[in-house]
Amino acid sequence: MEREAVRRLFMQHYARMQRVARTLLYDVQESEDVCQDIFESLLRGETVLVPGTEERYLMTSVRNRCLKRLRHENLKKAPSPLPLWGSAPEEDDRLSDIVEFVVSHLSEREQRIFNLRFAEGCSYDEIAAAEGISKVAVWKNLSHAITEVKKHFNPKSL
Amino acid sequence: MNPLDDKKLFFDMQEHPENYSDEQLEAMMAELDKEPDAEEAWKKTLSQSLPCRERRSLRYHLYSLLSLQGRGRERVRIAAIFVAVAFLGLMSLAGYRAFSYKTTTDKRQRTTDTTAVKTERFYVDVQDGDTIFRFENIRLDSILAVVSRHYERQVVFHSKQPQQLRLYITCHTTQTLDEFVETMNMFDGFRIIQDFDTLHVESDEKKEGKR
Repeated sequence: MEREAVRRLFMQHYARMQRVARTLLYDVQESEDVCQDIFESLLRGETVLVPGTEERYLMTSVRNRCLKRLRHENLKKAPSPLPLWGSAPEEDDRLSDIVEFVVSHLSEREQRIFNLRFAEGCSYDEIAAAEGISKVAVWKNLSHAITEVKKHFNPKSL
Repeated sequence: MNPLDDKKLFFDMQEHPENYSDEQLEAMMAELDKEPDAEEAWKKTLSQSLPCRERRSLRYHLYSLLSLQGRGRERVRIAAIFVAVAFLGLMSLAGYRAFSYKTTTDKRQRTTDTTAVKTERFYVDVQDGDTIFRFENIRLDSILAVVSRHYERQVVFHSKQPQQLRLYITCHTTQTLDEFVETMNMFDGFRIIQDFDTLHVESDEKKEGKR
C-alpha cells in the first residue's frame, strides 16, 4: 500500500483507534504502539486491504491486538476490562459469543453505547450527544455492560 | 502515582463507578478522550522501528511486574526467589554437560569438564529502569527460555547440540531483539535466526567444519 494512502487512513482513523485502545489498555504509550504496529504492517505491505473494508479492518485489528496484550498481562493477574481467553483461533468465536450476549442480555441503550465505544471508537462526548444523556451516565452504562459481560464469561475475574 | 496505579484506578472506576464522584469520572473520561496529535503520531510511526516499540513494551511489562506495591510486591519477590531456587535446582539436576561442541580432543574434554563444575548462576538486577539478566554457566535453552518470553518469541531448536551449550552472558532489557540476537550469534557453536515470532536455533556446522 502506498505511503500516501496509508497516511490518509492514519489521519482518518487514528483518533478512534486510540480511543478503543485506551478503553482497553488505558496506557497511552501501549495504545500508541498498538496503533503504530498496525500502520507499520500496512506500510511494509504485509497487509493488503480490500477497498471499503479499511475502517472495519483497522478497528478490528486494534481491538484484537489490545486483547492479545491483555491476555499476556492477564498471566500476571493484571485487571482487564473484558473477558480474556486462551488461544488465538478461539478469539473470533468468543468475540461472537460476547456480541451475542450483548445483544440478548443488555438493554438497547447499553448495547448501543457498548458498540459505539468498543467497535466505533466514539468519544464519550459523541456517545453522550448521540444518546442525549450525560457523559457520566454513558460511563455508568458502559460500566454496567462491561460488568455483565465479565460476570457471564469470566466470573472469577470479578 | 506510577502507571500501574493509574491503570488500577481506571479499571476500578470502570467496575465500581459508584465509588467515585462525577468530577473524578469526568476527569478520567477527559484523559481517555484526549485528542491525539495525529501528525506527530504519524511521524513517530515512520521514525520508530518495530523493535523499538517491542523494547518499550518489554520494559513496561517488566515495570508492571516489578512496581507492585506492598504485599503484592512482597509476593512477587518471594515468588521470584522461589522460582530462582527451583530453576537452579532443576539446572543442577539436569547435570553438567558443558561446551560439548568443542570436545574434539581429550584435552578439550578435560577443559570443558573443569568449566562445567563451576556454579550456575542466574541474577536479575534492576538499575534505572533497565532490568539486567546475568547468566553464568547456564544452558542455552534455559537462557533462551527466559529471554524469548520477554520478547514474546517462540524458540525452536533444530539441533540438540546447541541446547546443551553453557554460556556466560549479560542481557539488558533495553536491548532490542536484534541486538540480543547479534550478541548471541558472536558465540561459536550455534546460530540464531529470527523469523517473524520465532527464533530458530541451528547448529553452526559451517564454523565447526572450518576448525
